[in-house]
Amino acid sequence: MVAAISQIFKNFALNTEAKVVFEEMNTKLIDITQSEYGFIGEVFNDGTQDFLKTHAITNIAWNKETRDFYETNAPEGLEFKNLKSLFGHVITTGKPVISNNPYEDDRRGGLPEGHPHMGSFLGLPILLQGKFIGMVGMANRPGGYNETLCQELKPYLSACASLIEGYKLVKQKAEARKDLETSVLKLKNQNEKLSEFTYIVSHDVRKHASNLKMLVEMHDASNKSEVMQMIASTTNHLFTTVDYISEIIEVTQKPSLRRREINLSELVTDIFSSFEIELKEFSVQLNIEESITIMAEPAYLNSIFENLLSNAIKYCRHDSKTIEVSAVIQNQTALITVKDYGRGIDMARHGEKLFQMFSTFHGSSDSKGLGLYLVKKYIDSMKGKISVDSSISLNSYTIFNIEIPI
Amino acid sequence: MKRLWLIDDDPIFRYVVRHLVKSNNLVDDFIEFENGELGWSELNRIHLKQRPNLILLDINMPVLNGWGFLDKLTSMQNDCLQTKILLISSSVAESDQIKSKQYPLLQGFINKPISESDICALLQPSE
Repeated sequence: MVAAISQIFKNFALNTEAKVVFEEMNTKLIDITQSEYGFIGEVFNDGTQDFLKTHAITNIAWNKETRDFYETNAPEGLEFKNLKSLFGHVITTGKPVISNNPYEDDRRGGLPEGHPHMGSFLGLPILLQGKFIGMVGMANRPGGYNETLCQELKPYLSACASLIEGYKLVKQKAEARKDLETSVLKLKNQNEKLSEFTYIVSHDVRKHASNLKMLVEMHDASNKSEVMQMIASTTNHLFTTVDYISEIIEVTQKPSLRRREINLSELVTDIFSSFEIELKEFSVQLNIEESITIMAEPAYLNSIFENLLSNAIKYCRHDSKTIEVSAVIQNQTALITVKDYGRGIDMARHGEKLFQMFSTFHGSSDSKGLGLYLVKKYIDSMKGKISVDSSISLNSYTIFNIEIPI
Repeated sequence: MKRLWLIDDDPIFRYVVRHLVKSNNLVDDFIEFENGELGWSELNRIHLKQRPNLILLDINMPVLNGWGFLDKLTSMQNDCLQTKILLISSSVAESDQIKSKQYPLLQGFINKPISESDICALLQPSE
């Protein structure tokens, strides 16, 4: 008996089709009970009532009509909804039904015309952790069915419960995978559309912005009316915004493919050199450990420091024009601080939105609010962190604390 | 004799460059082409001595784009093509910059927008 059951589970484990395994089980049950025919089924609810759906059922078709019906429908499972019957009684009570004289039994529902003779019937519930999930039924054991037999069949019923549950999970897994594939396809399509869209922005919009800029500059500088000046200013803003958008697109669309080892001290020194003119009246202190090299996309790292430096210059105070950049290594991480003694940021008011798109804190008309957003995006892409400490008091300052894993 | 060719499908860009070049008297001869195909067939037609000193070549054009023009130029029998070629584009895509390095005929890459000072610096004799 153990061998028989373990063989059946072996087949389940080998991914044999449910139909085949349940047929095997059904045949086994019929054999050991010396029955003539039988079924294994699961109970479902169609919204109004419980009903039985077979996983395996002996072919007892008695004419062409029933044979055709069996061939067409049995593989998917036959459904039985009339619960006013011997088998129905198992479903409605959840208890075994033994009937060795079906035609005289109160619980019978009658058989369809032509149905083979039923001399005896046994219906047993399949329980999973106490819950009724299905049943087995069989008929025509010579001499009838009894209580002892029911006890002997317990391990088989237990096995049936596991099979039903097991195949249910297999089905769910397959459906989940199908859903996933559909979602992935949808996402792929959306990405393609997004690529198209971003291409249009970075090419066409930029082209028009560029042309506007060139046309505006053609206008005689000495003769610029007020309106013309504003057009010029607006065009510059438009162009800067388009450039920012292109940058954002680059960051989010393409994962950093061109990363290389960059010496932080060299990079920062170069950037400060390029800002030589703007930094004329500033006192600059760079304390960056020479050995620090970061694996990153050069353009990103450049952008981070250019943005922070621009801000420090832009929001300085007349009386304190000092910028300090320092960096050390600690636990495989580069700890970088960029400090200025400018106006500071009101962290109470703006702290939360600091790195969001279009957040500006000083109402100056030439800041578009994309700088810090980009800085954070770049740092995120390097799996780093950034935080701000700032004060708008008399001794105002702003410190950007950046951590980048090496 | 200074000859400048501009190969670009954008009429507004051509308008501005034409204006800047002419108002600053930067060249003796300025010819525009709407796409690479027209520029290419003219290059093929004319005498060596009539070739431009400088070609400003756009990337994105119909019929024959910048890359196609360069490919044709490379396969042409070149016998000392004295013409300097600069690639211009309004796209900032780094892939274009990288690709431009594959063509030894290209001597540079210019990003739009181009300012008056840019153009003057490009075409002044002090190059």
